[in-house]
Amino acid sequence: MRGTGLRFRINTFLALALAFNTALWFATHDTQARWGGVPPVPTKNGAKIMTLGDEQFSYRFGAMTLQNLGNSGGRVTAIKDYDYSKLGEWFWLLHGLDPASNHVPMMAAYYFGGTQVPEDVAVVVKYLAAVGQNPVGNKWRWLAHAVFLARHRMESPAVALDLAYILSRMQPIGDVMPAWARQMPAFVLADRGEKESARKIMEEILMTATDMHPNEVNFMREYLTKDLGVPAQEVQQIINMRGSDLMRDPDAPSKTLPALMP
Amino acid sequence: MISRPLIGFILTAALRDKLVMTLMLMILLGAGVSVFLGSSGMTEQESFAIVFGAGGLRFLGVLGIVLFVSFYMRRSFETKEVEFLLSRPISRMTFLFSHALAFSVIALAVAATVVAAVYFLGNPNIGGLVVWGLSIASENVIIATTALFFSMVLSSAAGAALATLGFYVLCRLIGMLIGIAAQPPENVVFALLNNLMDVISVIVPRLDMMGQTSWLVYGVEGAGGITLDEKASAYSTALVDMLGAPGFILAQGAIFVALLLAAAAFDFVRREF
Repeated sequence: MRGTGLRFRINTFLALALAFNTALWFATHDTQARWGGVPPVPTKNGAKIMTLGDEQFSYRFGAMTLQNLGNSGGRVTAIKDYDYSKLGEWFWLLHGLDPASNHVPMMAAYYFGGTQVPEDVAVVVKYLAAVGQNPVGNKWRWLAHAVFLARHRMESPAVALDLAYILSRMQPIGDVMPAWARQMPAFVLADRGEKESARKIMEEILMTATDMHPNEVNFMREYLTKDLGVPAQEVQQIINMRGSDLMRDPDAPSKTLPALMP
Repeated sequence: MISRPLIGFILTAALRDKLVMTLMLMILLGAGVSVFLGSSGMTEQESFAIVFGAGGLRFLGVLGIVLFVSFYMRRSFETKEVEFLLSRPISRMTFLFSHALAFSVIALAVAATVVAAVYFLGNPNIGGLVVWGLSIASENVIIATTALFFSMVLSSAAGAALATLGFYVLCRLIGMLIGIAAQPPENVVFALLNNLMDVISVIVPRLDMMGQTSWLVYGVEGAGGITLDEKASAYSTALVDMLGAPGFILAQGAIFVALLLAAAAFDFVRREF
């Protein structure tokens, strides 16, 4: 077979192949792969082997996978459809690969922490509480977020109070923890109706904390009088005891406040 | 032991092979992809771009070197170029060492390009980048010499390239493999395999201890440097303490390149053309 006949057959074959390809495209172009849920968590060694032993690359790859989990290829997955027990295992795996990064804690707090199922929030709270107890790198913020989630999303004031006490006792390295973090147990106690205990904590801070910004003192005065019902005269007496400390330059660098005892 | 004209000839061949241009384009493309991937991160976007870029370009550089060395060497054998060169006043050792040096120059040029690309990807820790670049340079030279060794021993270019890449993967994973082998065995077979793995690891460089992308994000000390576990011997501890991360990287590169060249020379002087 030569010349025109061969060319005709090749052209016909090409046209048929293109037609079949187009027919297949009609069947597949609007089809998406079904999401199989949160994938099983590899071991730390398994995760490292997948990236030829580079731990940081493994962390970044896993973090990006977690960020896009269920939300890729035009697909969107509702937070309630995630398996939080597996998500928790992913959090811990990635925490083991890089405990210094804030990417996974941020996703856990601000994205996965948005769930309305208390049992699922508990997974996030447990993770953030552990991450937040690292004294370096501003990690106490994640512990504060864990208190918030435990108190408002998990509806567990007891857990929130325990975490709040841990937060108030923290001594961050290379960072100044603000007064509101030290006052956290008082806020949780007041929320539980234990106003007397909350008052004791606030008064103790007001009396003993040094180098406090005047705005902080004013906030505590307002909180004690309006929220906890302490007579204004009593609050003023405590403030008077602070004396010259209130006269300091508000822009001067301040030190970390002393830890509270529960 | 070194022939300058031969080195110039090999470097010219690399330029004519479009290796340099292709690698530059691939490195630019890889850097662009890593910036794109990094920018999709919710936070720490620069760290994502640096880590993805460094990890990806490290492998890309090794791949380019392995493919060039393997196919260049096998083509030289098949076109009788090796026999022609050896008919000139060039000894077999001069031929071997000149090739090793020329390939090392190419490996160092690739490492320098990758380091420059990583520098422009974001704001890496400068101390970490220096040590990382040093380790990538050392790794590239080791792999170029390994590819030279395999392409002189094996008769297929694809086989030599695959053997070298397989060896590279083994080098990157050897730390974890000997870690697993150090676990108490469940039975006699596992005990034998563990011992076999220990023996193999004698001639495998610890590339897992080199080129850690965490150095680029946190610095060498911030990322823990080269850490030894509690079972490390006094000899290991003293060696790492004495050399430090840069010293260890250079010492490993020099020792392993010497071993590979000795093995290649052992084979080459016995070969009949």
